[in-house]
Amino acid sequence: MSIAKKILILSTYPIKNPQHGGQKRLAAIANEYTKAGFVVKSVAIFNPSNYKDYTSDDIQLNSYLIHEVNKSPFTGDIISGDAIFEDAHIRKQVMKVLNTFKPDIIHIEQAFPYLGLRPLLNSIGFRPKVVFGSQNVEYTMKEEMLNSLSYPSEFTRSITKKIYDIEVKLSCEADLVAAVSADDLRVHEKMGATHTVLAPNGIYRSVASDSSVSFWKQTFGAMGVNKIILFVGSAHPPNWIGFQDMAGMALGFIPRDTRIVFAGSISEYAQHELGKLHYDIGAATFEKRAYFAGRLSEDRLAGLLHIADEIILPITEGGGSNLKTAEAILSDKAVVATSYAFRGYEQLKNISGVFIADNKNDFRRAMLEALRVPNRKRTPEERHKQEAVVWDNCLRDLVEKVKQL
Amino acid sequence: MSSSKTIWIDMSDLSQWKGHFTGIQRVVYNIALRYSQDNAAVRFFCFDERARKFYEFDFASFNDGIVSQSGVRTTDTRPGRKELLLIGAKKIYTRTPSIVKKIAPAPKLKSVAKKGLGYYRRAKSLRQKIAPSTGGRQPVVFEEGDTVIVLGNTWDRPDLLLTLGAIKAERKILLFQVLYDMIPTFQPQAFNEELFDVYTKNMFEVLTLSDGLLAISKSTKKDAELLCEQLCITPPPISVIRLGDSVPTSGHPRRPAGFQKDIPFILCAGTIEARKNHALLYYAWKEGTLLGQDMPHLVIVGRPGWYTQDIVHAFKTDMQTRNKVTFLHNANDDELVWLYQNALFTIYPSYYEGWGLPVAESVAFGKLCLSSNQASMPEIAGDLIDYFSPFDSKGCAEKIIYYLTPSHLKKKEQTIQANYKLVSWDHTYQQVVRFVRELS
Repeated sequence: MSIAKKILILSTYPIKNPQHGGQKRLAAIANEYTKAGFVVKSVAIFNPSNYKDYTSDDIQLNSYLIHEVNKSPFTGDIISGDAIFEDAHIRKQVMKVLNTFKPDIIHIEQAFPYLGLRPLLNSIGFRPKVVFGSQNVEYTMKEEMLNSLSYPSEFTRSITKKIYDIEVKLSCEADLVAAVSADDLRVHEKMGATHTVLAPNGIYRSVASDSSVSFWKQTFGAMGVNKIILFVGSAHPPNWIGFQDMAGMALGFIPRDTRIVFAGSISEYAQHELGKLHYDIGAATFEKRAYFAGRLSEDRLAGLLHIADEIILPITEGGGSNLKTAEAILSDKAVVATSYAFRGYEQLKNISGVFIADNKNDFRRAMLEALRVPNRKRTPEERHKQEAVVWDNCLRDLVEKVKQL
Repeated sequence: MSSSKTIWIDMSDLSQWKGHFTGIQRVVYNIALRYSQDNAAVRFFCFDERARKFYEFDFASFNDGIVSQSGVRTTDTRPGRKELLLIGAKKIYTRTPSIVKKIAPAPKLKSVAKKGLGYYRRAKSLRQKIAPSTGGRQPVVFEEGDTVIVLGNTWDRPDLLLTLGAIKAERKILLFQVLYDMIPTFQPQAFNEELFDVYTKNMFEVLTLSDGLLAISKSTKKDAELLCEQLCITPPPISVIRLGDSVPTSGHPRRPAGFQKDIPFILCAGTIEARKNHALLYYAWKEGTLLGQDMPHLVIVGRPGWYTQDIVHAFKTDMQTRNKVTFLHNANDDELVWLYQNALFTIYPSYYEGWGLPVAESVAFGKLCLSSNQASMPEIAGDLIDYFSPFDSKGCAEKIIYYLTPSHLKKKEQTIQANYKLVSWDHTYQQVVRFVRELS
């Protein structure tokens, strides 16, 4: 009987009770590794202000580091990564994990933990196999984000360079690089990765409870709403920018008995952004056709997916591929999306019920068309393709390659 | 018992109204009256905001009450909705314990206006204490195929449209509304933000719910179409109706108590509020003086409204204008008629209107109105009167000076008196009936 290999997963956020896309992906990877027979330990070096659920293996930033993160909110992942080597307490805790768990493989999710792990491994001469789990090409995404938030260009340049450098190092030095899309894979290969695998984002099929379904039916029934257009997303600025670019602020084109339902933290973010607009006719009338459902439990979200007539993916920027796209495809609902939102799922763009639109007029037209046209049943062949978005299938090649390390 | 294909006329606006009718109430009354006389299939209703229900309205009894008060009076001695905001606020402040007043001194008009919606709600509740004359309060059930006509404003009772919308979702009823203006939406600088929000939200409902709209001017129709475009709404059919002329009447016109000077004067009638642009008159009077003209006296008739305290102060304290202006806040019909009859001419500098009642009143008296050339105002009397830009005080002063020459003024007055035809409310009613019939 062979002894099970041990995988240590390092990240900058915990995966207990995952909420955002990155957490969900990493939780799925941990789950698939476990199902494949690996002994898995997940350790996050994280900011406790942002995550209330974590395990005793996870390591919190101290108050000084949290203060540093608060000074520059979009660099928290860099601070967490550096802390692995530079913060004595965190370094000690990571060392303890390495010494006690003795991993055969370290899976580094996103390059940030490698900022501190690389010098730490060098200092102790420990050489486990390394898997780089890429979720995005981070340096370009961070650059876009900092630019959009008007950070000083020098600051943006220095942060971007730091991330680029670590992504290149990890791409070159990892024994395996897993990327979410073919585009990202090519970028990592250009950076020097030699062993790569495509591991697109996926989902686990959600099942709504009867109580959740009836909750939403009652909620919308009382409002006289018969049709739901669902937009699920996080409070990630590109989500709101994409919505404005593709659907816009003026929602008079939405039928009276229909609501665009914002679910997830995009809901609060959108409300916050709308609150900043004064004497704006779009903002003043937005809620006439929009409903803010807020952050939801898995069951409530599953219920909403169940009763939705249409799911929109107005994604126009940002890296990686989108878990929401997988969720939408598997839901069997009509999906209105940009081509961009289907990166990583290009083979599914033409299946029944998927409407691709890349400008505001076409997107709005598609939103209405998708409501009007009854959802055609997918063919067995389309169903087979659709199943490709389930995590088991998305991560199969990754797990197989990790087994061979 | 309701029969199908009934025409229902909403009287919510008038059911709570006591005293003299303002512009909107005149429209509601005059059209409703003619429907009641002309069409047996017409019934009337009003909306109970607290119960969110519709009740039958006894129009005949209501009209008897109006007739017994010597007919419909045309000037507004009773405040309009916007004025109610301020009155409500003042009433509330009066009742405030003195200790609180010491801490928080009496709010100025501007700061009162800023409190907008809160005061509006209180004022509305004060108004709701006036028992609505809902007849026997028989609940109304709108049947499939019925037509509902909302003649009044709905922005201060938004639940009316939401409730009608819910009924419309269940049964096919046709809804028509009179569209007065988009002032708080397109001229938000003249109001507070809460009114902008409330009004714009309600306009969204009006535009998306109605099967047909009756705009009181081409300008209002254009604005409705613009708002539809901006909100991505497919506009419903919109027809322009010409409002009837309601000329203030009096058996005993008399000089107002507050204006005893026997001197030539120019009359400016209408609420004193930012949109009415009295500031332009202040600068025009100063410009005229700079041009060497001894400017005539200006009589400003109207109640104080939003954001105008500063300009009233300027008028009253500026050494060039303080002896040239009289403010009359409470003129009655007898006084107003006297003012129209005795003014040299009238002036109306508003930069935005849905219609422009003082312009129509002036020409109905055979008097020249020097009017703003914006929005709906040029639609009323066309070339018969003269215009200026409400943003050009020098241009305005020059027009005033031009018409101070008696021959210029007389020629214009003769043209008005020979050519201006009063529009009857029957004519307005026929336009409404035709449009509703075409779409029914």
